[in-house]
Amino acid sequence: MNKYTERIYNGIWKENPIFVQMLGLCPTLAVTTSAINGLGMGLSTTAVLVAANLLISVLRNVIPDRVRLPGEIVVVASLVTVVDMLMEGFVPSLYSALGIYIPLIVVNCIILGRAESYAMKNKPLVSAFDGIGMGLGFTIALVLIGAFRELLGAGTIFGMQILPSSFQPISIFILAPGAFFVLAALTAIQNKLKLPCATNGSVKKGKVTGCNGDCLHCSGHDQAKGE
Amino acid sequence: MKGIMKDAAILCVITLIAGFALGLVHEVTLEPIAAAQLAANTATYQEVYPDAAGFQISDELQSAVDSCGEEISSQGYGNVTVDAAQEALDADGNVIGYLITSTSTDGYNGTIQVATGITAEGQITGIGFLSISETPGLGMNAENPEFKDQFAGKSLQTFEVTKTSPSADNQIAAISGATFTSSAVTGAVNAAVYFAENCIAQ
Repeated sequence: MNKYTERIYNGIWKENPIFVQMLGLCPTLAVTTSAINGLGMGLSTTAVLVAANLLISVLRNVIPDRVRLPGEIVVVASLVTVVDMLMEGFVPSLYSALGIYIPLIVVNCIILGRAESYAMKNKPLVSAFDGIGMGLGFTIALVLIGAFRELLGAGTIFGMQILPSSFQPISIFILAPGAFFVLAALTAIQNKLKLPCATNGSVKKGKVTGCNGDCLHCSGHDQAKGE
Repeated sequence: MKGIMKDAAILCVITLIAGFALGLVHEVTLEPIAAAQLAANTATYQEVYPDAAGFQISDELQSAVDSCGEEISSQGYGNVTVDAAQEALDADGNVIGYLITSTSTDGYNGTIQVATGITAEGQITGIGFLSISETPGLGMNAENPEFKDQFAGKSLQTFEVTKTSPSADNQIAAISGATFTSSAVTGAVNAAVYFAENCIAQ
């Protein structure tokens, strides 16, 4: 496996941003009300992630170490706004489907997390592939969570009726509390089965989050984590 | 000290470049965005009033919008306003009805702007949304035909929302789990109906 495909495998499976790194949980909770919303948010984030990783990596020798966080934020926020405006102006059909997710991407800590922990230290092309991998991993996770919530909350997946109409949808699953239920259940299963996850100490220190999920004693130096 | 100055200068340059890039993109996209919004609105108008060949704003309707504002807000349809009214024209340029835009702020999240098509004979041709940002999966179901097509073909009357299956002609079945949205949309349509019945000089 060469270093490019390794990056994609790494993002989707080994260091999946949601299931393993537990990053970017705000948008995860907010938009996974249906599978299609998860897909839209995931793909928008992937596009921004690739562009941001590429740009940060190109600028990695220009941005001074001490002011790298504000530098990265400026680059990411400007990039998201540019994408937002270009999309609205030139591909309105895409914008009407994905537009509501674009501003949310600015506050997505996966973007900053990857810029900080990967793109600042690696060459542009491999950083872009890291962005693709992380973006796809994020997309898959959002679609899975969205599909699960949609199934229980509305009886459908991707708008198609799956459960018989005699099933009374549990609408709390597509409201905000449902997101917490699903995420809590997921984390509980991961902890029980001792699957790799930032919350149960099964990931080697410094390997994934840089803080091993230990936010209390994290100096924030290894990686920007949090939202 | 020198290091800090250098860092600050570089950060300043990055911010400046980002600012200029944003300004440039804003200038470039200003017109396409306006055109895209206009196209989207026109598409909604067509959907709301399929028989119309075109729409035009007239001074008469505009002054009716201005003078009728207070009257409508005191009708008990909630926080609704009529924003604009246009004449719907057929292919020969004759006025065959009206397209009325009304806004309700009673939704669950932000304002809901509804376009209502009303024929000169007093029938609703349909409703459509110009802006709506309700909860996905609940309030956003207002955009589904099951809800919004309930208005199409009805005569002018004050509509009310019911949570059971509608038994009278003026009853609109609420969207499951989204009573706020259902009421807000119905209020906006009621305002448009009131405007058509009482404010437009026949």
